[in-house]
Amino acid sequence: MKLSAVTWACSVALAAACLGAVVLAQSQAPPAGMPNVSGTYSGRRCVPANSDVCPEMNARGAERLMTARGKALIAAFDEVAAPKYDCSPATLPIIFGDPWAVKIEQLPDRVNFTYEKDDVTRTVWLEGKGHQPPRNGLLFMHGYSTGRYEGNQLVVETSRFTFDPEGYAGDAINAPSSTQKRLVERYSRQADTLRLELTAEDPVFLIGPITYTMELRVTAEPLSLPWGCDPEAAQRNLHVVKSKYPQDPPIIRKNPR
Amino acid sequence: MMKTSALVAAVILCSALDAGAHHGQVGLFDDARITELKAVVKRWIFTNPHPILVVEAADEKGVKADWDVYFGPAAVPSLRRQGFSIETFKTGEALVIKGHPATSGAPGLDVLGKGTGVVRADGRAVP
Repeated sequence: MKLSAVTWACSVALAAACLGAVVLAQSQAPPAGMPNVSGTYSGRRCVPANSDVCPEMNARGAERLMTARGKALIAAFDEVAAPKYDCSPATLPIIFGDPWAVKIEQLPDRVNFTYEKDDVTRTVWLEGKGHQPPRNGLLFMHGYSTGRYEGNQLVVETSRFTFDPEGYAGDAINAPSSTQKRLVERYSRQADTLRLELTAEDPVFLIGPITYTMELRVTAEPLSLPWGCDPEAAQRNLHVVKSKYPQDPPIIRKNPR
Repeated sequence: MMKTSALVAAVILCSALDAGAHHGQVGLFDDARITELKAVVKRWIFTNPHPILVVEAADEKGVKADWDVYFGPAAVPSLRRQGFSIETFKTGEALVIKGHPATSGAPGLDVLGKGTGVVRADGRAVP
């Protein structure tokens, strides 16, 4: 009797595990007729590796690709003023500069992106599904994204970004992006490799479009969420940062609850 | 004796060492230098964006200060994969830490790359 109860419990647990696996597999599969880009991906690498802009703009890229006003802003910027020290999430495309995982879920009328870094979630509204764009004047940290399928690719176009002092690079380079930033991302998947071809245009800060290609690999590891940025830990990084403007009064940061 | 010597912390500046590329915190730390601390743990802040180990150490004159120890641009998920956890360091624990000093002169070290590391009082490397 005892053995059969154990056996029964094991069977139920096994069935639940199998059901969970099926549900997980189903939730990661795209609706019929769409190219499959669903999955959780990590281990990003740039193709080729020695790019001035991938995974984020380096100093040489900033010198070569930023407009004069962009370079002037870089020169004036003080690391202490970076919003990340208040746990402000990374925008696009700078979010690809960090090696954290991303999950893509394809739904019939939209595609959801969840980034491990900064708990960022992003909805790509598929064209032709009756979605209304936001009203004029609304800008978003991660922009407003629409998408469509072309052949084996998911094509995502994003605009309506807010200004970001680290839109193309952070960490001492601080290459800004403007409200005129527009991104086109093309995602395709072959076996366990997701390929992203990214183009960014920004007539305020870029002298021309920048493009790069990045590949990520499917991972079985779930996203480590929540990211849960801690403002105290973020601001503590400033202990080792020298202010460019020591004549200013010290910044007493208050962390909202 | 070991505990006593650990509590009497010292800062030793060592010779230049090649540490390789430094990503994510460009220019904040001097990759060409290694500073060694004999230190005592005050806090282990195991949160994002970057976990920080706060230790107390004294300079050659015996003046104590709090030092912030970073582990490169790592965040909680990557440090977990390396074997770190919220339990890795205990308040009051004695450590020997080798890292790149902050270029600003502030008491901060970056433990990342060749020649850097954290060792417990019994000689075991962390993690």
